[in-house]
Amino acid sequence: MTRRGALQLVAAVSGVLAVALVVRSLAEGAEAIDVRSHHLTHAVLILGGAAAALALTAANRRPDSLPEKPQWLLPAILGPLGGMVLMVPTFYPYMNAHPTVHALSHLGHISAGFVTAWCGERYRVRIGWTTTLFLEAMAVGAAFGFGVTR
Amino acid sequence: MSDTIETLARPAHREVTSDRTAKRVMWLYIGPGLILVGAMVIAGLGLRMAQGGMHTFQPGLFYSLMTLHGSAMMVGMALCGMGLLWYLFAQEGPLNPTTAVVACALILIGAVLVAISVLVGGFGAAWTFLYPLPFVGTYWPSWATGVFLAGIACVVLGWTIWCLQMLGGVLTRYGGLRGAFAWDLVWSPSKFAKSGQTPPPPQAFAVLVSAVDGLLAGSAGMLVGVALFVRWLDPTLPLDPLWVKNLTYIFGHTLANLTIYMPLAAVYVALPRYTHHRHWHTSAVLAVAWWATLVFVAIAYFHHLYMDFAQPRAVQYIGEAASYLAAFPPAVVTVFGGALLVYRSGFRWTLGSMFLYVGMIGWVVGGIGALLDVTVAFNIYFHNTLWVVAHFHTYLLEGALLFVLGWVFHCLEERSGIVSSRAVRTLIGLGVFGGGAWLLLGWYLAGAQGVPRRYALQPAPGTDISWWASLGGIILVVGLIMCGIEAIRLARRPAHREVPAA
Ligand code: HEM
Repeated sequence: MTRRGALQLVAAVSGVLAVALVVRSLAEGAEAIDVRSHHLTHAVLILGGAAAALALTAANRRPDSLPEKPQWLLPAILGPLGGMVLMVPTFYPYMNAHPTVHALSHLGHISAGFVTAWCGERYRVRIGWTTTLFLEAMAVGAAFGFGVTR
Repeated sequence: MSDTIETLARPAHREVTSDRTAKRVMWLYIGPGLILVGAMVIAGLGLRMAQGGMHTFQPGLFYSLMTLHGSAMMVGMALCGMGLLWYLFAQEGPLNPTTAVVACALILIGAVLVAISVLVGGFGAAWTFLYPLPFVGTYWPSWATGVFLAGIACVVLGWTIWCLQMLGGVLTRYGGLRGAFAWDLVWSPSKFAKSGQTPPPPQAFAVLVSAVDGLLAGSAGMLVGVALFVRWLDPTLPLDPLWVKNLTYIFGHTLANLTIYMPLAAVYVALPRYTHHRHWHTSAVLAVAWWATLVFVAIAYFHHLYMDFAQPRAVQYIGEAASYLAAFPPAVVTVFGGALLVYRSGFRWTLGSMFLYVGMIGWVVGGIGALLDVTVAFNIYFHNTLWVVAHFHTYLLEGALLFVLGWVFHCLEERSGIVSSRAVRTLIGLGVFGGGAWLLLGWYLAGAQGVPRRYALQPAPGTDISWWASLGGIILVVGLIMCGIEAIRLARRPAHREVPAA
């Protein structure tokens, strides 16, 4: 298999796994979980979206990927912000009671991860990796105090 | 990945942003930055005089002004460092000015929002506060809290954009992290020399460290900012106070630290220009020193949490060790290197070179004050006393600000082809260094006596010390005003082609 093919496979598998997680919560009905586990689940979804984007951009590296393309930077930063907004614990009880909205919000997490990584890489090569790293750190970090007390 | 590295090595990417554009961007940052700093020096003097009983502020106004002073100083100093680094890196590789303008605009919008929240709303929780502040026990309306948090969010967004732009620039220019860190120079020096490659210049390390640690600080700021904003909208939301405190200090401490490391690049670039044919080269030692700085700046913040018994014990040790180790790379490599560079070099003393040189002294003195404070045996006495205010003012006011002023005067001297007279230099030196030292001494002495920080009315002997320390503050302000007048005088001179200091 070529490097490009392998990367496309990684992109597809991460995307499918992330979406499968969403479908699963829809199919089984969302079981009420504590806020910390909920945050961590979101971190996994975000990672799925970001991994798919990173593999896709690596597979389709454009020759013009070196110069800066400023139009992609703002979405690459608003992605993490959007991801964080979707992790507001105040919404969790409502989400737990409404599986469809819950599944949609999970799609939102995947999109936030995807947008962050994709737009970052489109802005300038390697920046998508950086924005992904920091978004992931924020998502995992949230599990230790955002709506959570000891 | 290999094809990426090949493409990155293409020399086509050496083209740089035009000097004219780069200078414009630089002044776009440094101009408002210095205006903010200047206005806040006056506010700071008002605060110090109030603590000395020279006049009184209405209850609450002191804390609101202190909040404005702290936040705006941090933003102002950061803007100066960002503009300076942007300009210096634009000489190395292409940077898009639009990105820089957007980042600057966001930061300035943030500063305006903070000013509205403080001056109109009376917000007064200080620039870093500990949860449950700013929600419990407040004397300002709730909207002011929201506006303050929104303002800080804009600053964080602008800062993050700048960091990403600089990181992208460094990685592209030097062929990824390996090149940017000068990895091969350190681990296989002979192979590196044979390859004919050149390592990144010293100022590129300042860019790299500011961008990486800056992104860490920005993410922590964004996370805690969202959490506090949501808590403002939904008062039932629980937040873990220790978590909030950790994030607050990853953000606040790291940002404050970086405001010193950013203008340091001016020393690398401008100081050698005042010597006879000496240069500041990137050596393996310098590279390793900056690697260490990258790590230690990121984890030194733990020393702010010594008093938190719930904090894991291991990180307390890490915090103390990292704070000590953080002092070595700059002190040993940069300041010692700077002193050697100047020694017997036929150094030309001008306002620019004087500020750069004295800035290194201020940095070391403030650093020693900080090291004493992070020593647990001392911290028991100094924690949250005016000693803290003393050491951070030493390296911000008599270190980082002097680096910025040194750079500004270097640019003005270079452009106008003239330097200030000895009399002007002496007067400004007496005002800025003499008055500054006098002001700082007051904080050190009061801190050693255990006078607490952030008190409008201080317990004895705070008020007496504040009174005479304010006189030093007045002298400092006079020195800074003279400095401003001299800068305007040089700026109004027609441009000259020759470089006086080279
Ligand atoms: C580059 C210059 C300066 C910077 C970056 C700076 C920065 C700061 C910061 C960050 C704080 C902490 C605010 C807080 O605790 O929330 C502070 C406090 C303060 N500053 Fe400055 N400052 C500078 C110059 C000055 C000057 C020149 C004066 C006086 C003439 C001054 C007077 C004060 C006072 C009185 C406080 C309150 C100290 C306390 O009692 O806790 N500052 N400053």
